Amino acid sequence: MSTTRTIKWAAILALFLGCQLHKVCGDSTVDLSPLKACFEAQHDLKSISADFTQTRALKTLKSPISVKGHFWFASPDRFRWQLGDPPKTIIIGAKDGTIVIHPSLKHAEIGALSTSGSFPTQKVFEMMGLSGKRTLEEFQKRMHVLSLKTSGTRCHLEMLPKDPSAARGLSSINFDFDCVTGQWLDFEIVTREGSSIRTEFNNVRTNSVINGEVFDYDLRGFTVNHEKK
Amino acid sequence: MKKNRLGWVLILLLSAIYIAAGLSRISFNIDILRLLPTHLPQVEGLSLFLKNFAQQDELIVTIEAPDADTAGSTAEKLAVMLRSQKGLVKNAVEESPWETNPASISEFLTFLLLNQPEQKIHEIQQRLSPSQASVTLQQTLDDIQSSESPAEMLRKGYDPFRIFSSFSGLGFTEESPGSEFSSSDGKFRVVYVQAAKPFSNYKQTDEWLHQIKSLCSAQVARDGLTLGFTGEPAFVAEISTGMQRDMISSAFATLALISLIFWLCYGRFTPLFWLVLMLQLIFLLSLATAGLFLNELTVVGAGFASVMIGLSVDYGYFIYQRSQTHSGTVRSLQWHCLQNIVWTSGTTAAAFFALNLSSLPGLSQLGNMVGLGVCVGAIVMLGLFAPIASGLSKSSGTAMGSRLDFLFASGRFARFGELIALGVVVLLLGALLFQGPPGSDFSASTFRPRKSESQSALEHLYSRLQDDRGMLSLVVSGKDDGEVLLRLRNVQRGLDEALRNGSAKHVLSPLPLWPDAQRQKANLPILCALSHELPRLKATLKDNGFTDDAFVLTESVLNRANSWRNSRFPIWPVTPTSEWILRRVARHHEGNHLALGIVEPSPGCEEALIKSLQGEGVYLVSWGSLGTELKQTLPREIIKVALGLLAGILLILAAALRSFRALLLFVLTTALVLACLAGAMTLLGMKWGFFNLAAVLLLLGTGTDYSILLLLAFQRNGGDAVGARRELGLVIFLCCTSAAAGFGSLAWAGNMGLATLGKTCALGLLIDGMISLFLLPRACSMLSRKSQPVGS
Repeated sequence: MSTTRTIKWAAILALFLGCQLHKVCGDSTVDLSPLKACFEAQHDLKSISADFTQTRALKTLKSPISVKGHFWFASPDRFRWQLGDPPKTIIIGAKDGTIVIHPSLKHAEIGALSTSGSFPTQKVFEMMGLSGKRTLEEFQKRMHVLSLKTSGTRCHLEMLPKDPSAARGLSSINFDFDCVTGQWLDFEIVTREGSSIRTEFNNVRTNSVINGEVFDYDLRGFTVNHEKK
Repeated sequence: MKKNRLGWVLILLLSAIYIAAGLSRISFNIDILRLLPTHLPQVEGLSLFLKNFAQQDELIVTIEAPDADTAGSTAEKLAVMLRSQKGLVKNAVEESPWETNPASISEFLTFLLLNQPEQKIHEIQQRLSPSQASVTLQQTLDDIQSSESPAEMLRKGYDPFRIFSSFSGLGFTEESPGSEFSSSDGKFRVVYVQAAKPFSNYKQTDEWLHQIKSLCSAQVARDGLTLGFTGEPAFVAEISTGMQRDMISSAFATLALISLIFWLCYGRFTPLFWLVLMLQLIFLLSLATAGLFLNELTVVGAGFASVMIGLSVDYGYFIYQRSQTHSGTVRSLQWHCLQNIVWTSGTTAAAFFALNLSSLPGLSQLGNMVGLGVCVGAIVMLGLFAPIASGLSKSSGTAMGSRLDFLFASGRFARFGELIALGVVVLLLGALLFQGPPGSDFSASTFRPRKSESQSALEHLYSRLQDDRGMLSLVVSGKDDGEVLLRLRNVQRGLDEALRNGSAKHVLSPLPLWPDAQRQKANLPILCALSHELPRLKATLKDNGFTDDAFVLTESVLNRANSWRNSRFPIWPVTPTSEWILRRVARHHEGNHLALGIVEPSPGCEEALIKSLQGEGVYLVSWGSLGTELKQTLPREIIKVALGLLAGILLILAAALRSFRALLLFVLTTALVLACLAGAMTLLGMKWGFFNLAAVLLLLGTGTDYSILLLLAFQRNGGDAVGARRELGLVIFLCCTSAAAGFGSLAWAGNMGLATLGKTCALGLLIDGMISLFLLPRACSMLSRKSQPVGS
């Protein structure tokens, strides 16, 4: 069996069997002051509204797939993640759970993704301090910082969760932000089998008034699944 | 003279050969289920589970580290080192086999596919057909585009033809935070170590374990790292060596106590030396007999040595006592003692052999071993010790009485003893009356060693990985694959119903992993035909925007199916990876077909669930349920055997005493002893369990002798209770204290059950001796004053 073929199989099985493939070598000498500044800048954050473009570069696809969407966040923990225009998938989350809605299928799943951890965006929100006022110390308890590079006001952070179950199958989570304003620029999930999912934000508006209805959804006529914990 | 000496040499030589042959065959069985009635469904099911799924040659090494990286690297280092020890280790696994050799999983995935309902395979065939293949791929692309879960989009990328979409709900593909190799935080890791070859006995297991432990400890010499060793080899080594230690230490403790008692009574060294030597010979001969005629010693059987020494010494006392006043030849001494010893050893052995009436194999074994030992003891004492005692008596010239004779002849001592005995009885009955009878504990923990490193490591493993102790194991057996499948399908209906009505919270059924020959026969030709279309499928895949990587799984699975085209049905996967997955789920050797699943019952529904699902070849078992079942059945069983035993004793006594009043006194004495024992247990915080109940039977077999001896002496002395006590006081005292020493020495045994048995028996014997010696004569006197003398 060739090495290439073995790697392919490893990738497949990491997905099918939930394998734990990562090995982490964190750099304790990385200067994290830009990250600290980013957290401090977010302390006064009340809301975010932003467009995004998600690029899915899978090893199994010849060319990446791009999807547009919109994101709303209201402090302390409510968010709406809307994929596609018109939306194909909507995720509305709060501290106590997540609803995944498929409007075209008239189907919703309550609690499903947040409990299984398959919706990493929410985890990223938590890690990056959107859910609650996070400090650098708390962040370091949960994350290995692989590297932090600064270019002008743009900071590029590469990290991995310390929790092996959260880091399962991941090579790194990359996060770009503005060192001065603390504003998010993009984040990327890179898997060990070589695929990546990159989300770039644009038209970011912070602390604007967000209508509370954004975080509600009328599920009448929908089939709703409640995932067992 | 020369001929006589030759005979002795021959006897010694034969004895030595017999002992060597017997001891070399001794082996221990640590399975506590071997002690329990095999007809109980929980015992039967758990035995099947342990025999087939407990991994007899697999040691579990646990690593606890301050951080996940250290734990991971240590596990890897240990596994590599252990794998290099070819003479000791067949394999050491620190991660799922498919992680090191991912391609090996394709066989198992194909096996799962082959067992899918025909309808699903037809759907797959349809999705892969020339007209639908492109549509299927476009649908997959749409799904990848709309999915928000990275895991799902990647998974779909590797299964573009949606072959494995039907695998959802199997439990196999679901992500879980931990695994059988690592805790969710990664700080706790597990290495599974398989021995190079099966162990032939416990000594080999112990030696192997020590080697593995020292190798691991040498490799991991760092602060903050904790290693643990558990699994079957660890338990076998620990419990077996513990049993051996218990057996030897309790036997020596008994010998020491007996020596002390003899010294206190007679103050003579030479007869004591010979007596101890005889007891050791009896012990070795009995143990050799057990090794030759019994398969394996259970934990209860291991306690036999001290019990048997405590009983056999009675014959030695008797012979020695007689030799002091005997003036005839050795033959006449032997003949004189024979009549008494045959009677007492015969009844004791019969009482112990009667334990075979019980359906408890452990108790039967103990009964057989003590019964054998008592017979051996009688033969050795009569054949060897009687000539020695006679010779010693003749050489000393004068009869040497006991130092304690004056005590049992003293009226003051008798009155003092009566008052003390009465006080103790009142105290114990008061405790029983006011504090209630002792509680009960039939849990599996009562069978385990008092201190167990393996158990601690296992408990830690449960706490760090998935804890399945509250769950029930579903064991389904059958004579062949088809019968197991049929039973699995039947039980599946019950499981579905249990999930619907809420009596079960979660079910992991082995049904999807059990091969269905009919489905395989129907599905295989379809999958083989699809394998011939691989070039077309690959071209379609590429035309629709997928890369070669997306085709690896499809290609491998269809090729594997094609390789099975000439196989016999049912097809079982055979690669090491498949075997690793199936090792805790299925067994399919000739005549031994078993499937294992897990059922989590809702609180309070366990018993009802077991009753509703259990049937022929279907067992829903757990250690907790075993305790419940034992609590329901064991007391009944023991009472049944005890009543049988008591009836036998009463029958013999009726013939010997020929007096209703004497029989009544015997029954009342026995009842009082048992009531006082219950009171003493309450006072000491002891609980009824398997071993205490077994102790009651032993007590009936041995302790009742004291009251019987006194009642017989009472008759012989024409209703003179003081005379009866003077005649037998010392003998009862010696027998009682020796037997109590034998049982009592077990109180320090490493095995909690054996210790409980020892404590209860010693307590019961002392109570029995005290009541028989001090209260029974008084009762006899009072009754004889009121009416005719007891007996005729």
